[in-house]
Amino acid sequence: MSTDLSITHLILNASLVVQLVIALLVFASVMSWTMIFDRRRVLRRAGRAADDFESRFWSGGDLAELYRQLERDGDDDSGMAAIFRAGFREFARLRTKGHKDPMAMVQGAQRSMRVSLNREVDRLENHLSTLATVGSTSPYVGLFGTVWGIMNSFTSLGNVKQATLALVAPGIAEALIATAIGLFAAIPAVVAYNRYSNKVERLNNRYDDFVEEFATILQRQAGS
Amino acid sequence: MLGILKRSPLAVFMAVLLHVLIVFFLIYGLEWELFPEKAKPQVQVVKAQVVDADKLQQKEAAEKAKLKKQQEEARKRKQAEERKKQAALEKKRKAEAKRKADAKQKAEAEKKRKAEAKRKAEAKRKAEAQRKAEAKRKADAEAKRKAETKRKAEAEAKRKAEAKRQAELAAKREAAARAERERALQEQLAAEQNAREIDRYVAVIKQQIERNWLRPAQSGEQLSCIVQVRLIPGGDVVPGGVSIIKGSGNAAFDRSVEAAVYKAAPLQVPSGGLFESFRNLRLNFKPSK
Repeated sequence: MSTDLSITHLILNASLVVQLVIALLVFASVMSWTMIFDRRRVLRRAGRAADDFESRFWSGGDLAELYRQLERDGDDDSGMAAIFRAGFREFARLRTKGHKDPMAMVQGAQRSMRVSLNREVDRLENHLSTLATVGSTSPYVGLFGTVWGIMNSFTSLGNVKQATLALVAPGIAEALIATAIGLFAAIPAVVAYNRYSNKVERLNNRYDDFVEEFATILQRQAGS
Repeated sequence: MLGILKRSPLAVFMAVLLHVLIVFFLIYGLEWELFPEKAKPQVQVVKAQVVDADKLQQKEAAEKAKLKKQQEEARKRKQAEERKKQAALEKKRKAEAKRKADAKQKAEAEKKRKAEAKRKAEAKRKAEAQRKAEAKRKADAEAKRKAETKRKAEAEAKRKAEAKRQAELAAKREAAARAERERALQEQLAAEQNAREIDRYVAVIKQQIERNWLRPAQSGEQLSCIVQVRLIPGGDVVPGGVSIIKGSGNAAFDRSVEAAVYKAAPLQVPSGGLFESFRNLRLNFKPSK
């Protein structure tokens, strides 16, 4: 009777189902951490870009000049800069086509800014649902592995006359590892999901405010 | 997952690294704590054997006789060798003594010769040194005299240069002071003109706002408030950029002023460098009538 209860030993001696569950959970954990690092980078960059753009926008330069600069800077713009570009492009197009109604011009610009805003927020929210899935399901998957392992160890217990604790303990220990790994995968995923969805929400509000303010300025320009 | 791998391989790498580290610490860290090494006691085993006593005695006697014979032979051989060795040693010792005596005689003679030569060289060296010291003393005196004259000349030159420098410095300072005065005057003039210009614009802006101002009905004569307005070039008011710095105490009055500022936008502001003074504009309002 082996008394080696080290983790490696337990995992290697576990039944196939439990091993599969553990492998799945480790994969889920690696995936969720990948998402965490990736989102962290993307969101931080978006926040910084928004700060930069806002200070540029309100520094009071000519808007057409700002638009030309952004066009020149090329394709890497995102977030507020993209929204601004979409709105200004639409506005300029409507104006050159000779629309007379200022209200219609502003509404057109506002609509195209909305589309751009939705696209930006969608880009930020990308993959967040994976985090949520990992966070909510991996405890259950781990629990499934545990239940299966305990069932097995009780079945083998039924075959012997005299049941000792030493007979069931290793089986239960190996089964519990599945739950531990499930929790290990789930906790960071849930924390990160809450944090990042809150951040996305805040960025979304900022974009929204910006669209409104910019529309107001365009309206004034259209009127004059 | 694959898309992220393409876009930011660093994130994937960091995640995998994190897990590898955790697994490593789990395996090694836990094993150290849970299972300390148990030292196994090392036992030396003694083996027992059965031995026949009679045979052993016979064998021992034979071996002893053999050993004795061998010893005898060895002793004889050793004595003969000893004698031979002694004779050779004696011969060698005599030759050595003779060689030593010869060498000693020779060394004595050599030593004498060397001492003589050394004495002669010493005398010669002394005379030379005396001559040299004399020459050096003379040269030193000459050099000293020359250095003295040179030093005097240099001091004179330096004094002259110093005086000249001082004069130049004074002239320069004078010129700088004059330029400074002129510049200050000019600046003052420009600042005055700017201030006049700014005042003019402020008055215009105030009029513009007051035209849009709907005073609350029962505001008294003595109310006044100061607002700060953030503007962008062209005179547009930054959204949320109007704030009451010092209220009048009458909320309706304050709100009416704020509304008037928004309504009056765009304000008439100068373009160019003068605008910088209007970026954060403070205005004081009180009912004029």
